Amino acid sequence: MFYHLTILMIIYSITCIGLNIVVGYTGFFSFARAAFFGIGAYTSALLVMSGVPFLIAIIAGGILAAIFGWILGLITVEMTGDYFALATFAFAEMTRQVFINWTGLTRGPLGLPGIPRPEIFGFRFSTNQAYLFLYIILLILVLIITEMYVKSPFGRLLKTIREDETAAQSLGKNIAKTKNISIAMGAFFGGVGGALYAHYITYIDPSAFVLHITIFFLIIVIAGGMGNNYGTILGAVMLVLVRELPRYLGLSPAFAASLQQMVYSSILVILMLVRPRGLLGERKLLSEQSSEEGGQIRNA
Amino acid sequence: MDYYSQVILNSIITGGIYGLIAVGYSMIYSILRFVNFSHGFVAMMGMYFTYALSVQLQLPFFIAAAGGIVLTALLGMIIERVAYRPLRFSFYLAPLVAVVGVAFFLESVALMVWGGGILSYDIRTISYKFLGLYITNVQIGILITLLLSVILLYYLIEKTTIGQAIRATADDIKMASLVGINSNRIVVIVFMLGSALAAVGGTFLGLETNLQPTIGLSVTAKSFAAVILGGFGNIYGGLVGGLVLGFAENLGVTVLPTVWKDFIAFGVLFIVIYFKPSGLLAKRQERGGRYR
Amino acid sequence: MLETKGIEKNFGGLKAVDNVSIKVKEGTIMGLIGPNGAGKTTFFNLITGFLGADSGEIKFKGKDITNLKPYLISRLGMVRTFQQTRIFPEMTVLENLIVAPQDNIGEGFFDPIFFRKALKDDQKEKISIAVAILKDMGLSDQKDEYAKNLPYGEQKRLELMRAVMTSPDILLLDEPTAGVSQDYTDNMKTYIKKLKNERGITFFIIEHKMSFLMELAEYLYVIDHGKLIASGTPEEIQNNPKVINAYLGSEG
Ligand SMILES: Nc1ncnc2c1ncn2[C@@H]1O[C@H](COP(=O)(O)OP(=O)(O)OP(=O)(O)O)[C@@H](O)[C@H]1O
Ligand SMILES: [Mg+2]
Repeated sequence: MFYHLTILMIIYSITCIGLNIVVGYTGFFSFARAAFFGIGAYTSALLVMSGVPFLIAIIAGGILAAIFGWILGLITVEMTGDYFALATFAFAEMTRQVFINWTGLTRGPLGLPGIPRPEIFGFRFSTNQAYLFLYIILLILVLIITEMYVKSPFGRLLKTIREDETAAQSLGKNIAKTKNISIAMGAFFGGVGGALYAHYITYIDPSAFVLHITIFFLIIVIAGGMGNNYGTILGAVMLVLVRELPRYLGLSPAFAASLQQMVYSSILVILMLVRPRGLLGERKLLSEQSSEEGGQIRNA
Repeated sequence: MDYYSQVILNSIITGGIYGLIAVGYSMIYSILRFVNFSHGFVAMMGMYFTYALSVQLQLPFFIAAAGGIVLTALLGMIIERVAYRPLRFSFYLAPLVAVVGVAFFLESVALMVWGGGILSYDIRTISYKFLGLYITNVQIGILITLLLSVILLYYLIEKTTIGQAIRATADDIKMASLVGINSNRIVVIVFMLGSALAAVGGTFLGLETNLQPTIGLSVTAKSFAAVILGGFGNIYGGLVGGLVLGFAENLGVTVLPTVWKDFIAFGVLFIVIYFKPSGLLAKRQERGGRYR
Repeated sequence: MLETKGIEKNFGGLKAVDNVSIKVKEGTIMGLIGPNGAGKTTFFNLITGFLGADSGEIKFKGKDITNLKPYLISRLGMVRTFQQTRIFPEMTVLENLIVAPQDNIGEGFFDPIFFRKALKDDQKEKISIAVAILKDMGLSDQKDEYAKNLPYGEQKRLELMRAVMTSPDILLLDEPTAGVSQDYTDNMKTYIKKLKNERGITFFIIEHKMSFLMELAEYLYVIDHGKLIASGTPEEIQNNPKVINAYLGSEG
């Protein structure tokens, strides 16, 4: 149980770190997360099942998700606020309908069973301990890369889109391109997260990629604190506990499922009422801190 | 020929139902510029309230439906109190996120109380053949009630003082409060009225098809599509949009296999958002509201 | 340096800008005045590409910029501020400034990974420039404050400073002193003169406070109901009966 919960927390953290780029930093409320998660999961699962190495397959899953993200970004570039949210939601539902109906590829509602467990250079990660180890390394990697981005001028540029697109344009910033990169990056990590999920659970079907999972991911980001990657990890830890623990209470599965949904939807409402910006806020850039960092680099 | 007349009849019925639900939605949107994500879930609750009263408590159907509508209006009032009013001037995403929470809360309640299975109202349907078209007694009832609801709504909005205040608030909420309209009260009334309409539509949906606790999401999506199609800022926009959507859906499946029906519905939503961000009956240019 | 020929913009039936032709000479401070609703802001929106013109031509540095995207126009060296101040509220004052320069390293997709050192050095330099500007405007103490927490007048000044950070050739200011106290207005006046003299920045300013432009501007354009009704030096404008009429008419 410890390993199972921790592995889920890591998978969701990776996925939601990607979502945080779009929602927390760029300020767009995207409802397409389940689609990217699903695209990554199906792509990687199908590739590995046809003999492609694990590492290549999860990256391919991420890249395909990013390509879809890029296209979605191109189409939605003019939309703001509610329209963007709705358009991404429609996109996600269309994607899911494809998972359901393209039975030749996805086996539709029957799902894909027997997805192989990860294997890297001949070593098969078959125990939960080995899994945890592998996934922790991946999470650290993802965290390092994203922190590099969000702390750089690129990250600050993302925030200007969130704060005031028009003003950013008046300063000569190519908002459309930056927004696209942000959505594609977010989609990439969503796809990777989906791939990791598929290889851990070893079975996927379209019902794993419904809007509920998108909402669950959004809550993770919002609860932890938007625009803060550590907040996102904290959110994943909390929400996995909230969601999974009722299963261990010995309730009937259907009742437990409704109960968990009830609990986390209440948390969402209460959180908005008391801390609309989440538990951990965004960190400021302070002048001393940043010039010091610059100085250290120079001295090194 | 007959086949297509039948499709048209079905389109009018489904479209009318969507339209009725969407009108409630567009009232809220036109006044607050707020996407009430929970609206479809409220319609779903209305559907089950009627079920509880008519099947579980064995009340006559019409009384049960009226009770369902009243209960749903109260639900709308509670949602406004709990999840909307305190957040009106908070972080711009907060109200949207909160109603998403409300929506899923309602769904979980329905799942717990009525279970995940498919239910139906206990009503015997009789099929008639009329001018070469098949129509059931239930459908006739729906058509008549639809018409009555629209007339009643029109009267309420256009001819009463409350309606006048609603229209003024929809035009310009600041201006309306300047001339002494209590905008908080109007917002509550609109939430209640919108929810009541959703309950009527939800009950119709239950009559036309069946009852499922998980339909909330697609109802929300469809009524939003209808509102965008019909045009924001116009209270009746949703009605027109709903009809268009009903036709798109029913005609769509005449050319594509039925399993793609939902794909078409969401595709229409996507295309509509892309091409018609201000709708068919829009009053003024308006696109997603994030900044001043 | 900036020239428009007969540009027009209609909103439904309303002619917000009607056949306006102007010229802004390099190295000068020019003003644009007119009663409320005359179409001044709309005119700025047209020049800077935030609105598409219905007809007419806009030239900047000899290039045709009609219908160019706003960010491309800004990159050519024409930067604006807004009547309704548009700062980045949830970013600190310093962040507001260092995000502005157009030659920032590290805003491209590959930069954060491959140019880490160049990026850090560049940021350090931008911070020192920003700190100097903040000192000039007397805002040093607030540099780590969230922009949204500044009083209104200081937000207006922040917006101006942010525009200056882009190293523009011409600045279009839309009512830079609206709602700003007299002290700050004087401070801003001095600052604008300094920018013009030391950096050679050209200014085109919309302003309702006549005294502000009377002292600063070398040449004024006046529009009313979308039409250009007069142009000339501040003295000429002050005594122009058409202008006096336009202002009196709109008040009465
Ligand atoms: N986006 C728009 N859509 C419709 N009408 C508009 C729009 N923007 C401006 N207008 C109208 O165009 C006219 C000119 O407005 P504009 O804001 O350019 O005036 P202004 O000279 O800047 O006024 P002020 O001194 O009050 O700032 C006004 O009547 C205004 O209502
Ligand atoms: Mg103006």
